[in-house]
Amino acid sequence: MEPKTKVLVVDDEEHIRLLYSEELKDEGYEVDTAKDARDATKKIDEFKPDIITLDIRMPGIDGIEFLRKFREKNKTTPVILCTAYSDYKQDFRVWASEAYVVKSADLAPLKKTIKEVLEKAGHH
Amino acid sequence: MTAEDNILLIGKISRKRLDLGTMLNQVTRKAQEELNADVCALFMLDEQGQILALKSATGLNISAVNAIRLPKDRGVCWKIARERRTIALAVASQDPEFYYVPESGEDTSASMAGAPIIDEDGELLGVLYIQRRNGGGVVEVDARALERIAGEVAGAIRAARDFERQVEKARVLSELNSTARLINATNNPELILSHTGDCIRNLLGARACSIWLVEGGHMVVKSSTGPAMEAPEAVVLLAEKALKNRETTNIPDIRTQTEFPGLTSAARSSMVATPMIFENMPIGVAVMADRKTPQPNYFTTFSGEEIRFFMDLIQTTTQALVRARTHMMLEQALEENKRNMRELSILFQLSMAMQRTISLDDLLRVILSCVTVGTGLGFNRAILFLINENTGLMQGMIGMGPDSAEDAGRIWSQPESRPSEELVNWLLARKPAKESLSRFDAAARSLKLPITGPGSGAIIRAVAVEKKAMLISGRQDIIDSDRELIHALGCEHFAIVPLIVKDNVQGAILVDNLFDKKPITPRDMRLLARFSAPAAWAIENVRLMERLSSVSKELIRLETQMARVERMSTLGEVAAEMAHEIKTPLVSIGGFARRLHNNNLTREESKKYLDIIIDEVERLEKMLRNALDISKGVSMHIVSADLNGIVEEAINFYWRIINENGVETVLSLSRDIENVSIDPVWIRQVVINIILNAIEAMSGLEGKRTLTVVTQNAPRRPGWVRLSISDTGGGIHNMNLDDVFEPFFTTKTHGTGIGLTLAKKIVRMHHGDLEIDNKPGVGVTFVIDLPCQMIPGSPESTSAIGAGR
Repeated sequence: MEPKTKVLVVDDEEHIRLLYSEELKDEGYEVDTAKDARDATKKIDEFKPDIITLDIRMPGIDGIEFLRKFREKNKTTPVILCTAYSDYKQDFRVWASEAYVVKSADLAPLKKTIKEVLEKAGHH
Repeated sequence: MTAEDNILLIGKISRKRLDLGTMLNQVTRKAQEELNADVCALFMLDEQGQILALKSATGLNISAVNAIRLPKDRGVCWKIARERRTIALAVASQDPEFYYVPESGEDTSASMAGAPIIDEDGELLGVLYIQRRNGGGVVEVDARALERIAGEVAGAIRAARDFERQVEKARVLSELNSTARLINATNNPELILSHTGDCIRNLLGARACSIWLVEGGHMVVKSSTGPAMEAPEAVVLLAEKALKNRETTNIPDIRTQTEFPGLTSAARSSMVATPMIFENMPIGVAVMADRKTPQPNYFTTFSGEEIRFFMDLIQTTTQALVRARTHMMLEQALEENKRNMRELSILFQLSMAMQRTISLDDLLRVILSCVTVGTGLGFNRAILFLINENTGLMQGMIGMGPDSAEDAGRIWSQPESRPSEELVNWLLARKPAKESLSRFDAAARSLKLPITGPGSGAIIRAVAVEKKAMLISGRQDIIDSDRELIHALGCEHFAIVPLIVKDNVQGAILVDNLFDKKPITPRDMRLLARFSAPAAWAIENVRLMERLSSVSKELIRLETQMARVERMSTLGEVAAEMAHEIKTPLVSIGGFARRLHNNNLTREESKKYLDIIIDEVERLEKMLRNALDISKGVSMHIVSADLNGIVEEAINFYWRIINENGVETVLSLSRDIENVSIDPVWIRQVVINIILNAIEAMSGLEGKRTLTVVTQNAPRRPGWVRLSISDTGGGIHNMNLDDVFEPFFTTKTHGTGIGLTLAKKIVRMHHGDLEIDNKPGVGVTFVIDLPCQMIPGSPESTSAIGAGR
């Protein structure tokens, strides 16, 4: 059996982590979660995700700062930024991510974006 | 009495100080007595040696004396004179040369003797003659005695002539003295010269005299009296020579002189020139000519004494002329000083008028009024140009002056009578008068003259580029190149001066005197140039002021906008923050609700999701409750503070916005109130919020906009202070009143109303009260009561306002 594609969900909100985790598992991904930047660093090493969804607003190191540091070491693993509003779209720092998704109760746009990014990166 | 005694007596007579006539009479009488003669006569030779005239006689009809003249070279007397020897004839009639002395009786038997009168210098003065009737015979002894008497007579004549000469000299000196006094009594050069000329002619006996003065390196005739001189060319040459050599030069007779070859004269003419020297500087030369004699048209030589008198007189004249000139210069300097003072005073007043004008149009009008009014610079017409930096053209801004001579008379007669103290006010009050709407003004305003390049005229170029003041009087070469300007003026005589500020030409003033044709003098030019400096500065200042004022208006506009934007952006941030906070629970609720809706879930899963939904809804409710606590994490620091100071500070901070909105503020701040216990930062914020709301409520309303701020001790509430802020914004409609302090309520087009919500909350946290007194149709008064003493256990004194995240 082909190994499942691994998604790491990084979000400070417990309920959001649960919601994403359940939904993405239903889509057939293997999912792990991290509650902040520090947790995420650890999980990336252990879990070795194929793709990461990253919340921008987090206590401590925020998503954008985390992404910048992450990109210094890892240039290949795609990252999708998630945020409540589209007000970060103008911030050039989000360009380091592969995609940018506005959080919504409807997770279909997120799932579609994950699929597209993975295809572009060579996953099937 | 012996002969010797008689001769001694004659000697005595001759030594007496008698006039010549008296003395001669006494001598002839004594000689007749001594020599026992019938007739004794004394003839004197005239100066020219032409006439032997009878001066005294005895034995003759006395009336003949002075009338008898012996024709030249006739008779024995002339023979004596010619041969200068004594002649005695025993029978006079036998001598062929004998010629009877007229009135002597023609006695053919008479004898005679005559002796020449020769003085010590050998000069022949005359002849002494005796005659004896009827062959009385004149012996050799008589002839010798006569010779001796003639010698005594010579001495007597000499003494008498010396005496007369001294008397004459004393007279001349006295006359000279009074002439000098006349000369010194006046500072009028013409009078000095005419006294001098009169004296030379009347006292020194010159027929004519001339005085030259050196002016600008040339000799100029200043005075010439008497008839034309015999040799005018010689006079000029002699004068030049005397001036050059600085010494008195005498030509006794032009006919025999050799100094000026080629110069001659038919008649005898003499002349003396003496230089006029003052403190070693030759200032001129004086010449007198042709010494008069009793004979008309016969002239002789000036004596050494006359020449000395002439030199002395001219010396006096020289000093008098220098003194008169100095005096004149002093007077001129004084007059110049007075005029300068007057000009300075005018310039000062014009400057004042210019400085008190703040609009450019008014200023240009005032400047040209200064240039054209009689009590100002008094030119007929004037144009003011300013250089347009963008187009590089000298642009006529305003022209002032009448269109015709009739207008000119009418206009200039008006301001002339005004006292100069009123000049400033008159200039300022002078409204655009009829003449400034003249055709001339229109022509001036239409002038747009290039400063440089091919189309530019020489005059404008010189003024704008070379910064020259120009006085143009019909110089064809220049005028051809400025045809447009000349055409507009209709006149080729004018002056133009640049207006210079900090070495830059900003424009020019042109003036002319078209109507009264008064020439523009260097003095006018100087005054115009002096006037142009303050005028240029006044223009520069007004321009700067206009720019400053427009920049300042823009600044006020921007400041108002900024204040609004700032307020809006703070509110925007708060809203964004709140929206973000709300979004997260909404995503959870929505997400899990969808899962519940879509999937077949286990009971546990469903319960878990429902619990999450319930949790998140609670979180939302809590969030909404705290939504009123807009500010986060800011502490309050209660101190004892002066409420008046806070109010004044807030008003001062926003005075521009208050002004901009045409709001009048009425402050009534009681000095009796105590300090209040507040956090000044927060209360200041409350005051500002209320003031800004009040201004906004009044903006766009017709009628008076008044903001009234009152502080006082709170009525019936000791220990409390009341702050009331009222506007005239028409009040709030009743339907809105209850909602004023609800979040996001507003009656305005701008703003969110959150300011009042916050204000009420802040006042509450200070344990104070904020009430609203609404008068529909009039305005709103916010009444804030604050405690003076800190209220114990006040929780907000340290805690944060609002709920943190």
